[in-house]
Amino acid sequence: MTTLLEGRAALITGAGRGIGAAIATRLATEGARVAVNDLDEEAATATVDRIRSAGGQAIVVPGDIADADKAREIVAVAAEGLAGLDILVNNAGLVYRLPFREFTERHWDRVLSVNLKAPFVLSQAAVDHLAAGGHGAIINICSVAVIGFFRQIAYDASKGGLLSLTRSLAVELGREGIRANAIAPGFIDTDIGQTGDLDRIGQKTVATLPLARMGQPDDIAGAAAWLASDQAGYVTGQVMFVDGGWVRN
Amino acid sequence: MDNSTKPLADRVALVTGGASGIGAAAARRLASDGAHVVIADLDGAGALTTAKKIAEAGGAAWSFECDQTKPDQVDALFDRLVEEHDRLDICVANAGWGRFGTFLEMPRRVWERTFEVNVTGTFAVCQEAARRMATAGNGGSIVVTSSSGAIEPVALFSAYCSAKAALNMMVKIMAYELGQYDIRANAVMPGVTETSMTNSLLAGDSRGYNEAESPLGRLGRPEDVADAIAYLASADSAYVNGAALLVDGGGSAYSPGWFGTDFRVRNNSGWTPRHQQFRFQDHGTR
Repeated sequence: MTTLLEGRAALITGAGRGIGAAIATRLATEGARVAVNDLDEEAATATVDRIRSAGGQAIVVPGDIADADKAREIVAVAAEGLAGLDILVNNAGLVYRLPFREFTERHWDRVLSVNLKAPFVLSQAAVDHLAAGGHGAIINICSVAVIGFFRQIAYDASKGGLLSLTRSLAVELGREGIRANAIAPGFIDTDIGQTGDLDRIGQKTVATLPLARMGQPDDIAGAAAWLASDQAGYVTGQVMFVDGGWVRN
Repeated sequence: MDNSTKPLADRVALVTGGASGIGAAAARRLASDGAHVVIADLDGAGALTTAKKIAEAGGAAWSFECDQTKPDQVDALFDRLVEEHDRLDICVANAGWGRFGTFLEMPRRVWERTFEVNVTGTFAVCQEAARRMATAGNGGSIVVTSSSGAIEPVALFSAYCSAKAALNMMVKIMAYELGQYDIRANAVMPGVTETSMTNSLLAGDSRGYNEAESPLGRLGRPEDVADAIAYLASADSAYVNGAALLVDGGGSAYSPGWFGTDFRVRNNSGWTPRHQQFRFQDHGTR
């Protein structure tokens, strides 16, 4: 166990699986106490169990962050259970892959609620806790979609909005010792990246990646641990592309 | 910590411009992470001093005097590196040079020198480093010190900003072409950092102004940039390739540059330091 984040407390949303689970596990390995949120309580509990069995400290804070009252409650329970909150990782997200003409308002609202409104609500609910410790860090998981993608209009818009939210938070909260950064994962080996025809597209995509492999959730966790730590003490308002050189960022 | 358990144990790193400032901080940091560090600099005595300090702190470092605008000196640097080290894992292409002045009065020699040192010199070092890494077959990480000026136009810095923008593009193309050798290429873009290069620009009220305009309320330190370089050199960034990371305290989201003018006045060659142009609230000095 290393100690990059010794004494810090972190809340990670969507941490039942994939990138979120990898981030929660890595932050715990670095010495942080972590609160694991997921819509799927069973999956969140499984992440917590794995962290605990490896000697880490973790609690479950399940629930749907698209519900603002629930989101505020999740922050309150996490801060109470961890005795403070220094790191907020807004990771939970969802995507509908549909042609623009078939995209309904319901799809749009659901995506924007989870991917963009929830990070705003959670950040606002957490800000006093983040400021209290003197080294707050907000990490928003965006996507290479911030520079353009296709057939997932609400997702792309939400991630672009999340990047702007990140920059505004960095400027407004910097003086309180709170840093805000984004990570733009590329093609990552999780279940959100492997459904139906995307798997076929995916095989072609891998061939175009300079490093010739999909990214692993741990690749994103490495970036998150660094951005959450004092090692990135002068890095704020930035987006870290973790995409193996995929996009022309 | 025992040297063999450090994250960069037995790795060999080259740092150009390592005599002072960001380069020296990067050399110290990589050495403390366990790497064997070769420090190259135009200032050979400064490089030697940095190497000696690292050795005194228990690290492993060598120094080499090198003007990267001279092909034979770059060749000599890599001949020596190959002679003394059986591999090269990390190259921090950090050496740079800059002068400011209006575009209308920019001497051709200053423009050329800026490109010779920053672009052509960095190209030469990166190319030799990549060749060495490809030959050794262990992959590698190349980190180029660019500047926030590569993506933010800064008045009176036309040559410097243009050169750093060129480096950003070079890094992205290196990332594409070198991926097949498991060599990653990334850039760090420091904002206003306290080094000998910015010392004169930070004289007087300018310091307070720049601190006041930074969302984190302070200037960058060489160590801030060194921390980012160490991350990009480490296995934790194994899937980060072709990225350009700003280490500027959020300044890019809120930064007006060093010099300002009143654009309403035509044919106006007058540029003043921003802190003299506009009043601002600096609780320290006003």
